[in-house]
Amino acid sequence: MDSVIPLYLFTFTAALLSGIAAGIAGTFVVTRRLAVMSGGLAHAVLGGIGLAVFLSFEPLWGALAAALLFVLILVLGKNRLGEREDTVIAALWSLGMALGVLFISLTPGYTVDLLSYLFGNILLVTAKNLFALAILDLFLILGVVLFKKHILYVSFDEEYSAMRGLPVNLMSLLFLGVIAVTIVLLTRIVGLVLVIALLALPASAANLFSRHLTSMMILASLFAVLFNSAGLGISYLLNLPSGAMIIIVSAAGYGAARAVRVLMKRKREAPEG
Amino acid sequence: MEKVLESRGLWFAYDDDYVLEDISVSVDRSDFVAIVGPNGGGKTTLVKLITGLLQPTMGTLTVLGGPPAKAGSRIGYVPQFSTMDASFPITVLEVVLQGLFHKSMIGPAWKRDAVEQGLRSLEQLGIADLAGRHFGQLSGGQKQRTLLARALVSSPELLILDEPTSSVDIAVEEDIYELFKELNSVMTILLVTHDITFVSSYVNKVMCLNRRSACHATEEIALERERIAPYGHKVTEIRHQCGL
Ligand SMILES: Nc1ncnc2c1ncn2[C@@H]1O[C@H](COP(=O)(O)OP(=O)(O)OP(=O)(O)O)[C@@H](O)[C@H]1O
Ligand SMILES: [Mg+2]
Repeated sequence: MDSVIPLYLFTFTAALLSGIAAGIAGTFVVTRRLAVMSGGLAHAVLGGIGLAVFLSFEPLWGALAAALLFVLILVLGKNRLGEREDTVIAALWSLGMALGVLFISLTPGYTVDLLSYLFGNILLVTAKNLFALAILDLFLILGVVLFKKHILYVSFDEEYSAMRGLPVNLMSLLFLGVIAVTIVLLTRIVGLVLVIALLALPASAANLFSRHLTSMMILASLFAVLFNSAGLGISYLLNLPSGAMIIIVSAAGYGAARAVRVLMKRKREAPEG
Repeated sequence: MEKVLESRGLWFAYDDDYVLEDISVSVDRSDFVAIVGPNGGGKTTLVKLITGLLQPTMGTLTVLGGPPAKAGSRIGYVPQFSTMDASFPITVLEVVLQGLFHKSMIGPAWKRDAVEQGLRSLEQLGIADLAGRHFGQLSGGQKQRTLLARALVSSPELLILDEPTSSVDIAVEEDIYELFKELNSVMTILLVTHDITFVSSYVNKVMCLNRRSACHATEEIALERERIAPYGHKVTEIRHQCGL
């Protein structure tokens, strides 16, 4: 059934759908300084994938469960036990990967393509994956339209929001949940080692040109779609790994955005005439 | 008359040690109270208890006739430190409008009269021209004035200021205190400050918080405005009593 859709169309759809999610969730990651948390979460997800492979059920569910468990342990460890956030992240990061490798090695007769989980492979993306991404995009867009001001103010100043009666703890948890789900769905495309760059780079580039949170999200999504498409295009033409190509293009794109920003500033500061 | 603020035997500890011990204070409507005390005296902690950001370990605290958590939308607050991210994408006007935001406001757009109210508040602080600027790119003093505008925009019943003018220049500081004085006719003001001499002509009560015990918190030193003349002496006395 997948073969009915031409590959280039399928690939572009993947670039588009994952770009929208990466732009919106990436804006959360960048503005709330969650890049390291997101990187740790992405890696820890391997534990869930490994367990799923071992028990032979859908790896996606294992990944989702691991991601949400990561968020839960992080929040409890920080808020209840008063443990340092980055310590918890580092521990879960390694533990998740260790469990993943252990379960996969215990799986009898299963030669799982570990590399494709780590670095992604566009050829392994299914129509089901795209459908899930589309639902996530819809959810994110709707959430941002309805709760734009909640998101803006809780992200900007949690304390003042708490004073004015906003459910800041619930919202922080929701932010983490949204990031977790997005990461899990994006790992099919760029892999769990690389996914954090797909979240952080387009959003950071967009941040350079944005005075509003929503314009940052829109621009970040545009950048992510552009970087995705270009990366996938190059990987297809030159027969290079797709996940790696997307990230390299994103890094180059971020560098270009920085350069444009500097030039814009120079131009503004240049004396008249 | 209903008290704006009333606490009885209020104790608070972050961890094991009490930071506030047995605080009993009461503030009436239209009071202008200066809260003074040494660094680490517990001033910011008390402010956070009043704004509902912290919960008392023991004792009672009533704000505007109810628990602090219920009073939040009737309070304007300028925190001592703004920890906001300098590159966070938000404009000055959007920051000010946070002072009008309520969790029931669904959707991306602001009502026009809210925007007008926000602009008026910026005008009041002399920074209407900054409305569209990126907040993170403002100077420290401009940021403080923006946060003051956010606190004032909803015409709150209680205004709480935790060293609100530490970065503004002297000329602006005087303007801002004149504004506080004017606002004091319609709202109660709690002002945390180290400059007791400067504020002495504006406030009608001084509350001392010294380390872990409230020094004279129970019997706020009433400073009648008529007794301004020998005030230099009084300031020294308060300083001495508060361990300043
Ligand atoms: N988040 C915190 N966790 C633990 N202890 C804290 C915390 N915040 C403040 N303290 C402690 O509580 C005490 C009172 O601090 P607080 O910030 O209320 O003082 P302050 O009177 O506002 O001082 P300053 O004049 O320096 O602003 C200090 O001993 C401080 O170390
Ligand atoms: Mg303080």
